[in-house]
Amino acid sequence: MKQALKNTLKGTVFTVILIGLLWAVSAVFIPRNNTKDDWKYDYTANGFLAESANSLDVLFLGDSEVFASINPVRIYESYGITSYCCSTGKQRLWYTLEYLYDFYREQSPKVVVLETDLLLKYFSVDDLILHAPEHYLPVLRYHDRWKKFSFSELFKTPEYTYIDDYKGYHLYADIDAADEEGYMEETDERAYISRMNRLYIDAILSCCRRNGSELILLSTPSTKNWNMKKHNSTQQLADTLGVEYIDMNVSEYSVGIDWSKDTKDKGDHLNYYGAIKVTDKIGEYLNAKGVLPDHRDDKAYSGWDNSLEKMKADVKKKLKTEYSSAVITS
Amino acid sequence: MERLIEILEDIQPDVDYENCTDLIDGHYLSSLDIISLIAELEDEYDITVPAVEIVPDNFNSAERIMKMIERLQED
Amino acid sequence: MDLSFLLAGAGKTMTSFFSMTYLFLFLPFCLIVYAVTPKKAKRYVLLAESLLFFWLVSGALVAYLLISAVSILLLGLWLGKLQQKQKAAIKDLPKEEKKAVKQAFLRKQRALVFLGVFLHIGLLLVLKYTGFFLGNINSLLAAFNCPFEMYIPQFAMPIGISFFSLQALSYIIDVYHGLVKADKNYARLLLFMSFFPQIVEGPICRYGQTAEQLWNVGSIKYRNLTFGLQRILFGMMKKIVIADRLDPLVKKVFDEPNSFDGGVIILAAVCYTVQLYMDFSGSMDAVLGTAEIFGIKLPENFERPFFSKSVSEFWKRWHITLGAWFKDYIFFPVTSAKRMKNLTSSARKKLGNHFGPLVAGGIALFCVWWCNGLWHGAGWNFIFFGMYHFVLILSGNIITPASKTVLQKLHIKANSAGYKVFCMIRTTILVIIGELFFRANGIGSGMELFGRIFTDLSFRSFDQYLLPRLGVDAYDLAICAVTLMIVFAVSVVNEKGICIREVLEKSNIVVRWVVLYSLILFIVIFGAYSFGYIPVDPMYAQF
Repeated sequence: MKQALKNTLKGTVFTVILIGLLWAVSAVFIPRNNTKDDWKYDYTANGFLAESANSLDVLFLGDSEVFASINPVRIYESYGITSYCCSTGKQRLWYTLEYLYDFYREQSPKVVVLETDLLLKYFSVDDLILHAPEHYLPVLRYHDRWKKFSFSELFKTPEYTYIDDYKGYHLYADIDAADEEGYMEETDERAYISRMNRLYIDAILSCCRRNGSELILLSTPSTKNWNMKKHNSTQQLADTLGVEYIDMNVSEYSVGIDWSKDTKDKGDHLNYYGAIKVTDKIGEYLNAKGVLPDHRDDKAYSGWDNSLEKMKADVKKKLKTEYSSAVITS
Repeated sequence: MERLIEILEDIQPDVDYENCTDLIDGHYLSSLDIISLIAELEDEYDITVPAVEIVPDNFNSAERIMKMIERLQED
Repeated sequence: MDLSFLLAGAGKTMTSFFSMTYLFLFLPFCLIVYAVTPKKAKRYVLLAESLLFFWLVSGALVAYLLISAVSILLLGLWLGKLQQKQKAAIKDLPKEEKKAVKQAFLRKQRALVFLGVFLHIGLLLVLKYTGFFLGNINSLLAAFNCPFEMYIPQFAMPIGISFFSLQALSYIIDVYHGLVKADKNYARLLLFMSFFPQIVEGPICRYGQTAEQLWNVGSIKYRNLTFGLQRILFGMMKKIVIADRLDPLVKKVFDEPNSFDGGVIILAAVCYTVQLYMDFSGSMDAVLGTAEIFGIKLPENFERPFFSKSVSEFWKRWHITLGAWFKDYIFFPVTSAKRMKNLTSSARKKLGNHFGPLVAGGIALFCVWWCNGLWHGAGWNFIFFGMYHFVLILSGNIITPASKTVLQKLHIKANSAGYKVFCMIRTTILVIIGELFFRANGIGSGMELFGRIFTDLSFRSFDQYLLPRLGVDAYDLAICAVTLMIVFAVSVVNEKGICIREVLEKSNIVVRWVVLYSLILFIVIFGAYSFGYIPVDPMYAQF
């Protein structure tokens, strides 16, 4: 018995020291900046780190559907509302929650929009166990930075300087028409939202409520990733949670996507033209809430005007057409 | 015993059969060597070595092989 | 709080013993439940945990395992009964009659063994090879412009069927030979078949090796726990630092056999052999380490294979339990058959003592390697892989007398260090060529790759764009090289018969902990996991 106690104690001490070591080593590995070269993964989504505190009023969360279809700079142009897309390819809910926590550190968004594609996407327990401790022991995520280790940055504290001109949006010029066959065919069936996903959705919602933000669910148009089954279960979820739900795939919120022109990869993601339609609609919707301030005449936000000019130039260069601003009816 | 070692040396020289005790486990004899050896033994000692007897334990040293031969002769 | 959802869908990742689910959820759960169970019930807990593991990975297909174990239980008991009857029947008979009665009983027993072989191999053939055989028939039909095509059914394969089928067969044959007694206890047999660490990738155990050990498991000892965990950790380094890091490079080159010149193909072939070795032997470290925690000693599957001086020796030190299975249940039974013995003695008269036995041996060797190739998968490249080794091993034996003469003429001593190293390098090169065909996507692709090494041997692709194209960078290759050096150093020490874990045990606690912390940090920092890496399934789980 005494021996068993001694061994248990030994094991505990070993583990505690190990965690201490990993924590200490983590200090060496955390990125000191958010530029592409600093290996802060998904640097466009992390561009918000360099924005001034409390300057972003809306946060868009989600997988690649978000950065392909929502253009914050255009929303700013139309309504002066500042927003950011923390969206990453194949994002899963554990990562979404982390972005949300990170965002609240310096920002206080009034509205959080969560794209619904990832609500139904599977992620393994393995991901959960692997990524959950990364928050506390960053070496587990940034260990690959040994490849660019430098003594000079060892004693620097992180300082973020990379501002993303597109605010997380990705501009796609390609056109590859989608096959609309069977898209949003009527059915009463429901897709399955796993219990693990549900746990994370609840955590996201309670985090938003705690910080006084409104959570909105949004399904962007996609023939490949969305269908009626998913719509039904998401609608049910939104009703249970008591949050607003906009599905641009059903006629109620349709933005008139032309599937022969507005998608870059056969209905998987939207291109620039599709993004304009989604962005204008969501901008109009956010503006109608009446709580989001117009920053267009505020000197502190002049960076957004520069970003807008840059985007206009890029559109001209990449798409060989003149950029056209949104037509605001109301 | 001397005859056995002669047979062994004919099949695979460069091994100290007097003292080696891991002929199989030390990878000195391959499976094909074992077949040659068994053919020789069956001729020489007028025995039949069934498949069950072909285990490392029976072939790891000259002494073990001799023991097996004696046992099979008695049957 | 209901945490059962954590296990839902866990099976997808649990085939890897280095998955988080296995290491931090399943294994601790098993160990804790096992530890708090009273001693007498531990064996049943182990069995329940094994079945749980199988069920998590393969779901309802666990039925295959249960039925397979039932079949060997019944066959074994039947064989045992026949053996008893035989004993009773010949007890009082005169010597001449004994033989005839014995023969009659042996025939019956043999029929039962064939039934067992038919059942298990038959099932394996249907599940694993139907697609391959029917696919070949279809291409044959197409070649003759036949208008019809056979429907190819798809079967769901239970995990580890290639491994546990062989265990089942070895049990029946061992009972037949009288090496083990027929087991009356279904639970014990089932545990022998299903022990969870070994079910995915082996090692392939014999009833005599593990059944009793598993049945008589005791409490977890602190020493076994630390030794087991240390071994898992070392395996983890092999798999996560080296094997997984090389995966993109290997995949790229083997998926695009036409895009690279000979130099790159040689690099990829070497990397693949390294990857396979590190993946498989690393997984084996996890398997044997896990078993060790329970106090179970499983047979080793690797014995530093790259120190082999011939291809034949290599296969005695690489995937040992598979080679031993083929040797014991195919090679020696074939050569010991009466007709084969007659063949050998007549061949010896004509061809001499060296070449004579090679005729029967060659036939048996052919059977072994045909089976070995097919066992790895239903594909012509696997059959080619088998035949390649058959030719190498047989020709190695045929030229033995000639090479001895050459060595003597050149005054080279066969047991000099230099010659040994030469043999090891030669063997390694031959093995790498074999593994190239093994990995290739089909035989045509393998030929293309191998041909390019000779027709297009250049290093013009080796510029600054090469490594990004291959999905790795210079740091990746460097860290692989460093880690390989560590593995090599450990191998050399092991080859000398020193067990590092025992040395560590005797050293003082500061040294011991510094070594362990260093190893853990090494894996954490240099491992190919999390962001930027795709998890790689264990390579032998697919066979």
